[in-house]
Amino acid sequence: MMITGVKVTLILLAATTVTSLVLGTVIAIMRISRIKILRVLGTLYVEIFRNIPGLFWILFFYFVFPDLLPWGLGVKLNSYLYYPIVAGILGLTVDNASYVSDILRSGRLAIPHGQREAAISTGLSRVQQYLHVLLPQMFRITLPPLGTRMVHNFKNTSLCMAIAAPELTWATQNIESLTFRGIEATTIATLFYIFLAGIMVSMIILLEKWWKIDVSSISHSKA
Amino acid sequence: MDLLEQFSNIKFYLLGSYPQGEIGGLLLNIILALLTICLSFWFGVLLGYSRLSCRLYIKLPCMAYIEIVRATPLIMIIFWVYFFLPYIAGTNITVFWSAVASLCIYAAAYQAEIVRAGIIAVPKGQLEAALSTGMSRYRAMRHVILPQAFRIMVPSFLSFFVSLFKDTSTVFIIGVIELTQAGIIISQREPNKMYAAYVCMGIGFWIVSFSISQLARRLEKRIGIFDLESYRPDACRDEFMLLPKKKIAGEETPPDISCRSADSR
Amino acid sequence: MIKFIGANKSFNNRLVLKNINLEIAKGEVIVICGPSGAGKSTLLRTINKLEPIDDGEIIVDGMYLSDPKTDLTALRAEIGMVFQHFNLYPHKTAIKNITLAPRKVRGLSRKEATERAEKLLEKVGLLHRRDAYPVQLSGGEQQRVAIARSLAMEPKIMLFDEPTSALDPELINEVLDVMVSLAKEGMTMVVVTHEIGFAQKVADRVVFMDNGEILEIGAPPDIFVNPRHPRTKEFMSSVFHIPVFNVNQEEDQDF
Repeated sequence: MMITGVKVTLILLAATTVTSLVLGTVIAIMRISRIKILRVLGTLYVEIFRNIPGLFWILFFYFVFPDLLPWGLGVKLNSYLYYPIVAGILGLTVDNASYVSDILRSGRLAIPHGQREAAISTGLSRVQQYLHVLLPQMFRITLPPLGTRMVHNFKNTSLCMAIAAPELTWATQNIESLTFRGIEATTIATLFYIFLAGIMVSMIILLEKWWKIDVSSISHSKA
Repeated sequence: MDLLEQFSNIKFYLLGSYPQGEIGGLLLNIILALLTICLSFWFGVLLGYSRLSCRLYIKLPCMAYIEIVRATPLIMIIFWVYFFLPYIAGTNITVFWSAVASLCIYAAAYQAEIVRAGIIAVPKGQLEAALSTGMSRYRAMRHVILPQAFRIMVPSFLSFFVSLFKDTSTVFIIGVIELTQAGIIISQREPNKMYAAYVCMGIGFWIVSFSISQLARRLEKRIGIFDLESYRPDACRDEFMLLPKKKIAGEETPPDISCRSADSR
Repeated sequence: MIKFIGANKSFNNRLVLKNINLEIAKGEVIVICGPSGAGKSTLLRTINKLEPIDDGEIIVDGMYLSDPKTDLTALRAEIGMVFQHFNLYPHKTAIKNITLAPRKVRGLSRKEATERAEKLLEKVGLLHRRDAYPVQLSGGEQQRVAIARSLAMEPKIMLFDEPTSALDPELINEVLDVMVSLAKEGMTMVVVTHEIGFAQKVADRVVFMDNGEILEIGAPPDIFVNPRHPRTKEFMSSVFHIPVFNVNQEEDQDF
């Protein structure tokens, strides 16, 4: 049971890390775009999702969301064996993406203006500017807070136990109620969380070393 | 469907079963958050300050506490306190106090990091100046460094408070009837009111945490003497946004207050 | 090649460019000088429309900049620009900095682009630094890579926005040498600079600007030695108190 729990937790972690990075990047780009309606939508998203707990979104996607779907899609979803995991991924993603987009946006603001001008003056299109010049730098600059956020997201996967997604925390609770060997199970689970969080942090530190940009090399043109 | 009928449980969401019974609902979330922040603040200051100590036997336990708590999900802490603290300590505490205790354990670690970052962010010259006027280390900390550090910390505290407020929803897991639990209870008891329950939950959390963050934003502007943005745990860490180390000829570089960064991890 | 017709631009209700009329021929090297805040950089940046003008017209290589149908990206690909603060991409090595635009805009293959970049790096004397990141390069080296990056697009016009003013004095020559050889190859160049020696050596005409206006245009000796406008005289006399950079000294500053 613990093994399944670890597996599900890892699945949740991997899936939400990827999806929330993608969604967060999209929202961040919306929020810094020139088009006002995109900016407004992006800000609206962040303001809504950041101010409501992730737990709410997990419950929402599990209980309410299938109900809102048309054509009996919800019934199919509800009968889907792994729907708790899917709902957990959705809930964690929308919550985490709002933080990611905020972090990335502050990263964009930290990139000197001259970088974009240099990209423009060599004739790169807007998409190319983002793809090759701005986004890579945004991720590098914001790596530390982004990493902290991802560790936080990892811990939040435990919230999915609220909808009985069979992840690690849920597994320990189950063991407790079935065998009353709760202390052992909880100790192991806690150690596992600490261990994996440690691994994540060291991976981020390694990545940071690998990527390190010395800002003193970027000019700070005021123009 | 009568719309009013849908929201007939509004009092339950806001106050729980108070006056007849115990306080619950959104009010309980607010009480939990406020109580926790007030209690854990002192632990946080103590821990954060001790972590900067040069004596290893003080520094290491504090570091271990902070890092372990920060690497453990809040739910796990809640379980430890709720299921195993009575077992180990042999006393029974109410659900409410066990919720407060676990939130405090959790919050203290985060506050400690904020305090540490704040102290580090005060320019070193301040301490040197204070010591050179003959103050003791304790006095220098108490009268010179900490007042400045607290000012730097305010935004981080506020944004942590918002996140703590949202985290209070987690204690529903041990049956505290706060807003989330209230919503779940209603939507299970009266399934036809599920939408209303979720709308109330969402709006309830949103209004409170949105107002706190707006307040925080305003406060930040008022005391914006330092580059406060860079001290928020979620914002960019400042060492990456430093002004160029090499002075560019002919360009005035403002004095970098933000230069000594807090390794917030 | 470049033609300004009555160009005006204001910023915060202040005119930063006043009625600019200027025609630059193909292969000409123009040096723009003047006190700081005179609008030199703004003038330069209007040429590739990093700054739009409010009224008037600028024609670059037969393209009208105010025409909304003008393909700005294509136009900018034809105009190289070198910035005061280099603006190299810090996350890419020197060679990657150079090959990015040719590959993405011109659609060159990696091999072609790398070959071209290596040639250019050789030209600016930095082939041995091809895999260095900008952090690892000195200011002068960074600026030379930046020049190579612009040249890699095979531009018809090169714009230089105070390319040496962020450099330590001992690194200036290595950058100027590259610019001199570029001028001798017949590149159309517009250079905002305070390097009078450079202007005397290669400029065809010198433009003196103050307060957003062009006060005087002429051959370098006319402007530097016999300025006519009183503002120019004042400026030149203050400038020449500073020891003049010696152009004849061909130093090799590589290390």
